[in-house]
Amino acid sequence: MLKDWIPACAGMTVKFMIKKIFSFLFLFLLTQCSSSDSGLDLRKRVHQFKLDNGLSVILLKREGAPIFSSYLRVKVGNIEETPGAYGLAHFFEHMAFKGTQTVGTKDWPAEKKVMEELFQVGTKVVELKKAGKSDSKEYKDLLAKQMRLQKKQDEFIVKNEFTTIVQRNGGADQNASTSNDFTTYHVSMPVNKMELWAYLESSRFIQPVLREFFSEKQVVAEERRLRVDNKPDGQLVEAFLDVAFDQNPYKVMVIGPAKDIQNYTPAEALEFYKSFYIPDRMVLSVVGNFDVKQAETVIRKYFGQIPKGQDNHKDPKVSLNSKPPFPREVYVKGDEKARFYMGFHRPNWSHSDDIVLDVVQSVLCGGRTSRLFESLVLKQQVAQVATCYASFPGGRLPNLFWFYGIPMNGKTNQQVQQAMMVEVKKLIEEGPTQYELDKVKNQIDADLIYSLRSNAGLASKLSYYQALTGDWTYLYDLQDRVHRISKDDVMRVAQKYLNAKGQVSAYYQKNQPEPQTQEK
Amino acid sequence: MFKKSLTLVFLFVSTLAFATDPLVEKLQNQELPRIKEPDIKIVSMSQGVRLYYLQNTELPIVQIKSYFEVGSLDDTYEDRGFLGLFVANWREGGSKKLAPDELDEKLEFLSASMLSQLGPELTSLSLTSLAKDFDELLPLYFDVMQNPRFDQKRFDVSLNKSLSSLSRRNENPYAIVSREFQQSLYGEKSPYAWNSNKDTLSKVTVQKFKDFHKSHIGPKRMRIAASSPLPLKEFIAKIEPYIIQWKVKNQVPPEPKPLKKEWEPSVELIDRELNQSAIILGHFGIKRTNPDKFALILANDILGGSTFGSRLGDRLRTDLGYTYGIRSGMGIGRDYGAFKIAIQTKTETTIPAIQEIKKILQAMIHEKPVTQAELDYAKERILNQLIFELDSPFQIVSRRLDYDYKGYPPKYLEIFQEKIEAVTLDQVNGVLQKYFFPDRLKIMIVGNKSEITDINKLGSVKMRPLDWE
Repeated sequence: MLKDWIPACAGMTVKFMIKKIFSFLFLFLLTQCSSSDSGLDLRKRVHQFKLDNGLSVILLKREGAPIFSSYLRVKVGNIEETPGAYGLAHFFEHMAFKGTQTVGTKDWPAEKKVMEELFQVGTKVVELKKAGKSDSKEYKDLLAKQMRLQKKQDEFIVKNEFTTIVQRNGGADQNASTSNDFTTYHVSMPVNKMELWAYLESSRFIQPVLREFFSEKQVVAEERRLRVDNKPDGQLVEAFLDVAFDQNPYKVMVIGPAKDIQNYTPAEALEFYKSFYIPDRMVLSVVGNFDVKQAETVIRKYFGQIPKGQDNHKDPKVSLNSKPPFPREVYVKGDEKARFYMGFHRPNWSHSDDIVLDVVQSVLCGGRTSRLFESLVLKQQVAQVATCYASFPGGRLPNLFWFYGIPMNGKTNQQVQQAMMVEVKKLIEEGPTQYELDKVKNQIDADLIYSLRSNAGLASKLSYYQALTGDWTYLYDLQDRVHRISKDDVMRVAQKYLNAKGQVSAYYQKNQPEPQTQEK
Repeated sequence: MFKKSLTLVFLFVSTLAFATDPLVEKLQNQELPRIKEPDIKIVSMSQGVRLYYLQNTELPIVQIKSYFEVGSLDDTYEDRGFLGLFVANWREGGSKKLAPDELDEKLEFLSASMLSQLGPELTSLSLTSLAKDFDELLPLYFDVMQNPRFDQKRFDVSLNKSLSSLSRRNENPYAIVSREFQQSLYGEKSPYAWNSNKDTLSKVTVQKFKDFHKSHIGPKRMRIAASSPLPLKEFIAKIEPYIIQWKVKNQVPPEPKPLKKEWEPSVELIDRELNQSAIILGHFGIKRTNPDKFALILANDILGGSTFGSRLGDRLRTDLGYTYGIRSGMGIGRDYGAFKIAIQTKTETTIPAIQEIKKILQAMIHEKPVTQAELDYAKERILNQLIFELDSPFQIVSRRLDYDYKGYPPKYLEIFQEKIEAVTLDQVNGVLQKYFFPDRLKIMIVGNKSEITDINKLGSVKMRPLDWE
């Protein structure tokens, strides 16, 4: 799977250009590539090592301002969650900003004492609520006690100290994200703060403190209202995933159901952390203008302290969702303008068809000259938006080749969907043109060079492939394979997956036919 | 080149704020980088066109962006929305040499991009390409710039898409509250707030695009920001011929009528069936020529510049769990910008959140002024992040061009650093009293009327209808 396409200059561009362009231009290209070969081939520049505790590190020095970007990618997402506690990976991501035993507290021993009592009381409150006893006196008394204890703990807390230390030391874009597959922590900083960064970033995973555990649930609940409840697309994607998957963890949205968010307990969160925040599941990627040796020294010093854990969890064995009935569909009734999702079940990243599906995506939806845009948006004017993505909502497990459409005024979801399927059918029957395949290959090669413009983008990409496949140079394998993909490959793979046997649709619209309806 | 020119002088500046962790205390007490802007080449080319250039030998990429002094603020009320369509069609509509689909094909086959963009005051056309393709694409870039085709079919598509977007404009609560707040503050006939509609968009024609291009897009007051692996002279030699032969006398629109900094406090509610309200509170801000702006930037940062480590964020998100995000922004515009506090919170906490925000603002101005520790933190945060303004050669030249357009002095980033450092506690507390008005806020709420039962606590509330046309 190509998250973003990174190709190498050496070899690929040249090989392709021999076929296409006059020798004069070819010579120019050859010169260009060879002169900057060492600069553009990341395999010659990346310094990679593994700490004794199992954490993988990727360092890349670049020219430019004395700044760096770091991505710490942990192999933990909603794949690792269990029923009743969905969204916990995302919730733990919030907790990771609450500090440590030395950052964010005025007096850790005293705070700890209060916090332990708070955890006991808060857990009991959750249990009573789950048992349907939220009207009981016991529940109300305990809730009041929880509030009192929270206030007492607040007296020891230095609010947001972890974040503010990073910010006042020049930290930019400090944030984190949780996907179905990974949780990622990232920041950019001036290079003279690298040791401070290494200390802070590692220490929050050495002994995290679940500070403000109960009040943060309300923040996450607000985030859910913001992203899901009050947006047509949020409602649509939730219904879509639910109907698309049976046993696959991708069935649930990353943020989790509102009910689960309120039911997390500190013990669950800590157990989750212990099981999955282990160095074997972590990849650290740092890109910027720094001294590589010094960077390695501080990274070994601080990240090496994260305790080695035992990874007892393998990816769940999820087969391609093929149990009937198919095609499946669901309607979300809503007052806003219509739109729809359509998906086709497909295998995960490690399948040999994965890269071919990326090419299918490019031909159908890659830019303004793609087939869907040209046909549905420009020629027929049936869609305002008509796009697709080869791997949704994640890549570690079998997932969906996903389409998204918004009709033009006066047009319907069904009209857009039909028009999309005409293009899909055409691709299956006639395949891509050689020109289209060449364009995809060109774009892959160029995107390598463009990706070198951004420290953060590159750090993200390197950590992604390392965490997904165990070897970031996999992206070069992908590139090689793209260059070998033929018209027949595309036709075969499109036919194999983009058919009614694995099709799922979710429609957001005002009026819906029977049978399935999900009220807004 | 970039590496050489981008030098940083490290000086030891004042100690950072106290941290509870001794190792953090030790590690953060290192020198702060003092910004020194790289030596940007600024060249006056033929017809007075100014080029801002930095060579970038690290990557075989060319980036070029040309700016023209016309923006969305130059629309007229009767034809509002025209400039948005004009700018979209400028690039979309192809050029004399290439029809739109041919242009798209050429760019995408070479993995290059050409974009036209509309800002409030400036319009731009940019090209990003691999250096190897630059010679092939440069003539097309200037052909689009100087001889746009404004293809009729593409225009029909873009008009349809705009009308379709227009009918979807009320589905995002935050988009609604932003738009309606702006209208309430500036007035619905102000270029700072007006919205296009079906009628004004339907008046647009391809001929109007052609006329407007002829009269407003040309070399007069044109600026170009660029970076490439080429030395300056070679770069100029490539683009100068296109400038020389561009015989157009474009007009630069006059500044819009000055605003009157007058507003009536109000509470307005837009009724929508939601479980989370979107809220903006605010009033007029300042102009960018205002010498108090440095103190105001710091004051706003302390109030709500970030969800973490600001008074509003620490209280509304961290303490109370009322919101996922709260921010304040001090509008600093060519004319008076808008000071805004924005939050989204569940229906039940709509009124408590607004009351808490007002209380915090009130306290900051009166009984709980900014402390030295807060000011130090805000300065450190802003100053230490300045280095990211120098992230890439193209970013550096683009920023410098923007500062020049705004009339800021050369080496403005260095001046900005000095000015921020020099702000005193008295100045910050002074500007809070002078420019913030917690008793005169305009409050706009998008929320569920039937469930915000305590809304009368805010005083008289006006229901605001939504335009669905």
